[in-house]
Amino acid sequence: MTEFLQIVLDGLMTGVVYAALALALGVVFQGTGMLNLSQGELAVVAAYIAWACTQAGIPIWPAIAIAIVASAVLGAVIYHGVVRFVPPHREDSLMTLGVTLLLGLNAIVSMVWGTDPRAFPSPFGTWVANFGGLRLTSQQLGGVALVGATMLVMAVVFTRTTFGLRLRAVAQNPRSAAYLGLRSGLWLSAGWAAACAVGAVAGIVAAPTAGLSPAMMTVPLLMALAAANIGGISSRVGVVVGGLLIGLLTAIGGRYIPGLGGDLNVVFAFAAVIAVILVKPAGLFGRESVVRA
Amino acid sequence: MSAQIAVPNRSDHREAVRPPSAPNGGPPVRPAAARVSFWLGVVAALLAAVVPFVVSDYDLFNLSRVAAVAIGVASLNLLTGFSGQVSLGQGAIFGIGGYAAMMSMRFIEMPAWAALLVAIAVGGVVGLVIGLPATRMGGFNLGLLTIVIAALFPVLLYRFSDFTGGQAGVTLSAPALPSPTEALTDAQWLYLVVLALLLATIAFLNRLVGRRTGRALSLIRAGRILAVSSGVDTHLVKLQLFVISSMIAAFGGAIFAFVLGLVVPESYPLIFSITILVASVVGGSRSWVGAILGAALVVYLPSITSSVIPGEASAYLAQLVFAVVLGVCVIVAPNGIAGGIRRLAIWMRRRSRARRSPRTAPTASPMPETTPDREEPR
Repeated sequence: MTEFLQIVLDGLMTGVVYAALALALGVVFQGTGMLNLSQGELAVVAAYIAWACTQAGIPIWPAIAIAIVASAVLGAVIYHGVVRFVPPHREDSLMTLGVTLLLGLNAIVSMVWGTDPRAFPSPFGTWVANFGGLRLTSQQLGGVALVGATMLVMAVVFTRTTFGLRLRAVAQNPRSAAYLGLRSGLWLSAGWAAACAVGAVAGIVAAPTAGLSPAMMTVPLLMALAAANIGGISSRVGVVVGGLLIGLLTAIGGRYIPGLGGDLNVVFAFAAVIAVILVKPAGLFGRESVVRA
Repeated sequence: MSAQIAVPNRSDHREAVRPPSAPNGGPPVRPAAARVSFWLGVVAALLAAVVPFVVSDYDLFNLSRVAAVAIGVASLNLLTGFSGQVSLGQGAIFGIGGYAAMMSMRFIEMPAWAALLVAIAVGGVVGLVIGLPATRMGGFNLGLLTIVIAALFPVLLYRFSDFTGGQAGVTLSAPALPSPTEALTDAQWLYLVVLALLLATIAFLNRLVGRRTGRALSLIRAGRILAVSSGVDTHLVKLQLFVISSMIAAFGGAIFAFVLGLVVPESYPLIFSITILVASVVGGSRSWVGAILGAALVVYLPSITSSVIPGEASAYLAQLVFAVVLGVCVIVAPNGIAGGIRRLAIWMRRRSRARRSPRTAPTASPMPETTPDREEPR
């Protein structure tokens, strides 16, 4: 029983990284209708920026702050430089654009910092908490706290501030928002910035355990895609719950189903996605979009 | 009934009500232009057939690789260009075909032609297994499912290394397609066979999209509801296309494996699948010539960048160039190089006609090259 509880806890703590990445995917998708396959690479860039700052002698927490701000700026720049030129109804072009960014960012990171894995210092120290036979590392607890705080901030921003209200207005109905005097380009790039900041947190939380390398976020990205699909990419609560669910499912599956584990966990996650999609095509929390002929 | 639907929509769905007279299912080309491009194609094919007697065996090896990759890219063109489905896993299916052919030759000692058939069959089965859920889910789910396949394929190859040879892969002791005569070297013979297979594939695909299926596809592109009300089973058509595309990708992959003489997991990472997509979009996803241009880019760009900077960084430079070219194409030239050339040709023809008879010029070509997907509301 203790072992099972331990696996559940570990799964949930891996799940927070997926949840953060899935939230970033969801915010971008709601705003620009683009499935941003480069979200994982953007998180890698953030982690490398934080690492480079610590190498330059900056303490870890200011380095993390710099990385988050830099990611937000990068997100806004990507929206303004590239994404806004593709019309939103061209799903295939938008998907190809995501792939383009994935290729380009991966190439740049590999050329600048090399492909060898590097040790990323944990910002939370290296102690272990034991209670009732369960053990939790400081990295796990700190990661959950950091991602949780980020999500809380996002929730407050999206539901309680004018900023969030305008962001949602532009995402939901760009034309009406434009009639109300909102410049949709500005707000969509703000949405990209917010998404990239959340993704940066995911990258920084994942880096100490995964080891910093250009391919660090490939599996988490696939898991986040699964999470977005299970929870319903049109719901911000849904993607977060989906992320935790995927973390939990893969941890349990990897332990108790023989033959699974490691990279094959992705198979399990997507089997779960297909099962959910067949019953509820828009995901657990998603709303089906109805189109009038 | 159908007239009532079609008539008010004519301006919106020009693509749908127009007879698909063009050989590639694109906008109609006047007979003279079609004849010109047909003869251009014949001349190019003849030139390509003469090439093996002029260039070195190493260049021939590269050209054979281009032709094999072009089959894979053409299979993706069938999906992205003609049916609007973006697959990120075509490279994995390409690799599955390669493994199927090589393993059946190595372990069951099949002849090469039978191994090709095995590859096609395996590709069809894989296409059916992926396509059944993916086409039902629709939208971006196909891209999602296929990127997972692409990411998992090399992992699975390592995981079941007893079966697939793991890191070392599968190699053949003798060339898969040895030359039957003394007059041709193995490389020359292989190149000619691959070229013939490429041309046959393109002829098959061209016929496919020019017929009933092609008309159904242009209906689906013009508007799904329009297609359904005209009696087209959109799921079935898309599934058919997906399966056919997978079969051709596996076929191309088998030929690629024959050209290389080995299959290793390293050849088929996620990036390879993405590169195939790059080739399709950059070359022009609605053109078969575009597939060959894109494949040439994939094969030759890495060797060009490695002459610029040596070592590991050259691969990433090539990747960066791919990304930049792809980004430019997505934004500026959605129909790729081939589409750009066609637009240029139309523009020049119109200009030369305008110079000859300025008064009738604007109406001479009332149907400029359009991309129907861009105009249609989704």
